[in-house]
Amino acid sequence: MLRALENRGLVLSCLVLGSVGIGLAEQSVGLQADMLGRGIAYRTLSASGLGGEFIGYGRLDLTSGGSATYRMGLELRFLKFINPANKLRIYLGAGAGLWANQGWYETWEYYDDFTQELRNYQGVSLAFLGGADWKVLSIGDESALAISFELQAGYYSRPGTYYPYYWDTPYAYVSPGVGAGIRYVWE
Amino acid sequence: MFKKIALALLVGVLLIPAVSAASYRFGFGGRIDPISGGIEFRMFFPNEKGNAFFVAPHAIGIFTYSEDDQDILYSGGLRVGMMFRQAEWLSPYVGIGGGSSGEIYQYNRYVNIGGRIFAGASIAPFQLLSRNSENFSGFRLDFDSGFLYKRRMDVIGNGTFEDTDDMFWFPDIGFSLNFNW
Repeated sequence: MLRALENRGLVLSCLVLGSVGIGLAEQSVGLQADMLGRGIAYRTLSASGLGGEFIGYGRLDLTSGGSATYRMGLELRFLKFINPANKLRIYLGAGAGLWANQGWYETWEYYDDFTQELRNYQGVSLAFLGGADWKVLSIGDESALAISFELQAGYYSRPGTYYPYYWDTPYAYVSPGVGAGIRYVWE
Repeated sequence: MFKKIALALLVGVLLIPAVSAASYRFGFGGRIDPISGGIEFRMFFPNEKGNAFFVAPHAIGIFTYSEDDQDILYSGGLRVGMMFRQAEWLSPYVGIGGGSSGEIYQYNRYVNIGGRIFAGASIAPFQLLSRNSENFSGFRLDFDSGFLYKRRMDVIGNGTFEDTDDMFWFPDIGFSLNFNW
């Protein structure tokens, strides 16, 4: 089910980013970290301030024993910039984060009895968000360096806490969240 | 062997006028990324558009020796790429790089080897803050990120235990601090 959801999410996100791209007024690339995901970020924005953004990362470790471990995450956000022509811009939106993790998970039975198994988990996070995107440095007439800060609220899924060489169990929670990013923006 | 050395020296001597006559730029500083790090020397080959192709080797090493054992720690690599708008305070760049780092301790070897494809930004903070600051305008901070492949190899006790990891990371991070002239 999660795999189907991921596939549908990818198709949907391509359609949304494609439709935003029809009236493309601005693009940006940079780094973003928030409670839905983190990694390299690519954003498109229409002249009316409607935008879509991909954020992704991945780690793959192929060991000589044949037990591969990996972590990957993809975040998709839909944004509406209220004042897209300004330097300090306010935006509202919603986002979804997908993660997949294969790693060594440790389960404790008693205080001195535990098992370690190679397990595979996936999770989905959903949140509403609002923030500010500030073009702090203009580079020529059509590009700038921008930083952003945002607040979120939603349902967050996590692959567990990572200790050296193993994970504990995945978990999820509902809470407020935060995020920040730095981007190179061009028109 | 002697002929080869003589030929290499001759080629080197012949290249000196070419290098000194051209408007090449140089950089010197420190470099670190998940594959390797060390003291870095950079050579830029500018073109008419203000962009510059660069070649940047880096390395560092420590060797310790006693009657009982010896220990070698090393790290080194090479980056090549293109830096755009090199005269500006903010210069984007793209490139590829490779390197190795590790430790050789008695019969044990812990070796990392890998490569990166990266894109980043070189920032000249003094050039940005004060347009008249000539002395420090060549001081630059570079940040880059991209795709990394790294192989970790452990050989312990003269080959009695061997372990390898092949790692793929996206994104990774690299950092340089250097002075350019």
